[in-house]
Amino acid sequence: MKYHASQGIRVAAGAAVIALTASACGGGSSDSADGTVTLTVTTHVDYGYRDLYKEYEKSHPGVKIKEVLIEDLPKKLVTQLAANRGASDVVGLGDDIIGKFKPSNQRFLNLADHGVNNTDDPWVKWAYDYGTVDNGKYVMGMRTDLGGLGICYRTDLFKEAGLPTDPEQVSQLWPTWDKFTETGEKFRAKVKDASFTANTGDVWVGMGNQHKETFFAESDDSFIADKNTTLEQNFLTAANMSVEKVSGGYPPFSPEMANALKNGKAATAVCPAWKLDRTKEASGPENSGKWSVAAAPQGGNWGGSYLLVPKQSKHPKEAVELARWLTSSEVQKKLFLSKGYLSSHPAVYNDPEVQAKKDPYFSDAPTGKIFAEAVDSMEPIYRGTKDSDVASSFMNALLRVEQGKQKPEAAWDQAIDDAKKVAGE
Amino acid sequence: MTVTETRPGTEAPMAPDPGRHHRRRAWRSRLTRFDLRYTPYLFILPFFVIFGVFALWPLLYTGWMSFHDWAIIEGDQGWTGLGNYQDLFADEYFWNALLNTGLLLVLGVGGELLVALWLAALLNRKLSGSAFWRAGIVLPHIVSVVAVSLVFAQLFGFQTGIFNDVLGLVGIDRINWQANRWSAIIAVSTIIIWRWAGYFGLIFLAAMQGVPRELHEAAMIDGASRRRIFWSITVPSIRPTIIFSVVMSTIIGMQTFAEPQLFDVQGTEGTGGSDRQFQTLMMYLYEKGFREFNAGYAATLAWVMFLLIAIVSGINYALSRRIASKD
Repeated sequence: MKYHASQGIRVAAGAAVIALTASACGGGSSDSADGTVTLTVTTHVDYGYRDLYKEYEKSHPGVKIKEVLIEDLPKKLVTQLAANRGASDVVGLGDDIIGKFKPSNQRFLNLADHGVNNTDDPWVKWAYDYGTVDNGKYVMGMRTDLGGLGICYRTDLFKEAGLPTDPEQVSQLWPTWDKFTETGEKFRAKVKDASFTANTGDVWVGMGNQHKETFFAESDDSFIADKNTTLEQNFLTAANMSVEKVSGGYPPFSPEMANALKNGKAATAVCPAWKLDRTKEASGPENSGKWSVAAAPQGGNWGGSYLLVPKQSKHPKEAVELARWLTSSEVQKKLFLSKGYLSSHPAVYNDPEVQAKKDPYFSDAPTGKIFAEAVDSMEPIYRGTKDSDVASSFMNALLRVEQGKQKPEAAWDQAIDDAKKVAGE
Repeated sequence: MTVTETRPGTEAPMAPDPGRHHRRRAWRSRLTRFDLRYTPYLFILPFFVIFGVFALWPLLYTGWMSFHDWAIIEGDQGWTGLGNYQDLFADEYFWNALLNTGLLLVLGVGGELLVALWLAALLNRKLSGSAFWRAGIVLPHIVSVVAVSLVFAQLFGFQTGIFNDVLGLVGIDRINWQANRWSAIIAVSTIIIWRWAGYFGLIFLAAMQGVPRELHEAAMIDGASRRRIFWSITVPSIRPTIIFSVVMSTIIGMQTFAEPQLFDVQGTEGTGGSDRQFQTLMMYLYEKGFREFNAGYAATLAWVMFLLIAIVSGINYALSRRIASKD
């Protein structure tokens, strides 16, 4: 029997080696014989880093950067963290999902131990703080960009409706979201074949980033959406936009919405800074100069990301150095000027060169100024650890109103019930 | 296994020491016996090792997880016994997902097999360029499911989708396909049929080619119609293939995921429509496990699905045996 058994072990070992080799291809870092360090950076969308990687490789001989883009990164990352292998050296997570990883902060390097703080080259305080846990003692991530909040609008359709087209004047049309709806009603009275705004989901998300607390209490992370009257008011305001036919019901991020933007079927869209590039892409060169950007009612921020270094990285020092550079004010200024991504460093968004930036595609609207104003006065927002879990209950509720399945009040009630179930209340 | 215990190449050397010679012979014969008895097992061992490592072990481990409160990253958070199972059976979203999966199984999988039979019957006739057509019907299956689903989601778009444009031409109002259960199930079934009909069609076709032509000819001389020949001769003749396909497609159908998930306007963040009207079991598992990071609950769902698939496949096996036999 001995012969049999040892052979069996050998086969099993062989199979295991195959398995390990296969899984090693999944990601992670590797070294080549000549001492070159290869760093893998995985992000959930294109952060616009490609040219910067080349620049970094040139200034840091011996470092090679491998770029990976995985839209479902959070879902991959959880298994990589659980298995303690396969994660990249640097990962990029959106500000809407990083909260979900905070209970597992120990799986990421404490960047504070690697000299990251908010005094040299400081980020805007609320954005930096949100990337930390343990009262700022554990720095999990470094902020890349901010979203800011603006409203993209079609000047040709606004003209048709007899509305002003200058960004300054347009911003004054809607100091509040209620006024935004009113403007929409005026617009719809004149223009029949286009909706005023693309959908209510985007409006809701924009609103949600304007208040200190939304679904969960800052004091104890308990579910408070059912008692949060501001939240309910916001929801009803957004939902009523579909009742009043102000919203076109083109679902967020859908091909239908892209089509609507391209074909002038929606006069406005909620636009954080990172969306300008997408709007441009969706509506194509033929609409250049037809779009412009105004301030959003009540300012705010939607989106932006963090770079984190998983503890399993084999090159923590090099990874932190790269991530620090990618989130530095120097690089963020470049990214704003080339891609329009709003910097999370006040030194950058207050920079005269940034503030003076204009884009002919968006009728030379002063985007740098508009977005900087939206974020500069922001109060820190509290997000619960289950924030991203319950968010879809509310998005679904707005969708039900847009699909004509429910009235706003009933949709709100169901959203609260659904969210309570998800949050395990 | 009966093999004679002699092997070539064991010619005895001119050994002066009979004792030593004897010991060597004993050793060799023991080796030969081991070889004959155990080598076949060694040859099939790799399969069982891989099956054990990648199928059996995860299966059992998932079962173990389902008795715990288990967070996907941080792991075990405490034993809960049957708690997860109790929660699951009281969870209305689970029953909703089960209903949707069942509907998709009837419409999608039922539809795909009927279309597959029809395609196979068509291609079984004498056609010019038959190789081209035969290759053509599996084409939808080769295309990535993500691409197919995204294209169909656009075709089924409410305001800009082509299907609604066509319906408009014949005077039917635009349908918001994602909004209601019936329309969403029909739309998702269409995607499933599109993807799988050709695949099973080819399997059926291969089986039909083996049906003796004499049977057809005899029936034709007796004056049977094409339809009659198909249902009374062709279908019963390929019964084993039909049973295989029914069981396979049931297993695949119970795990339907990508088509409905990408049909959702919110993509992988979606819950199968604004009111979970087309969320399948697999989608609910994904939501629990990978969006809420609740691995214990997802493991419970996985085990319940495993048992359900076994039961439903068994029922379908029994049913398809009866339907196809026309003795």
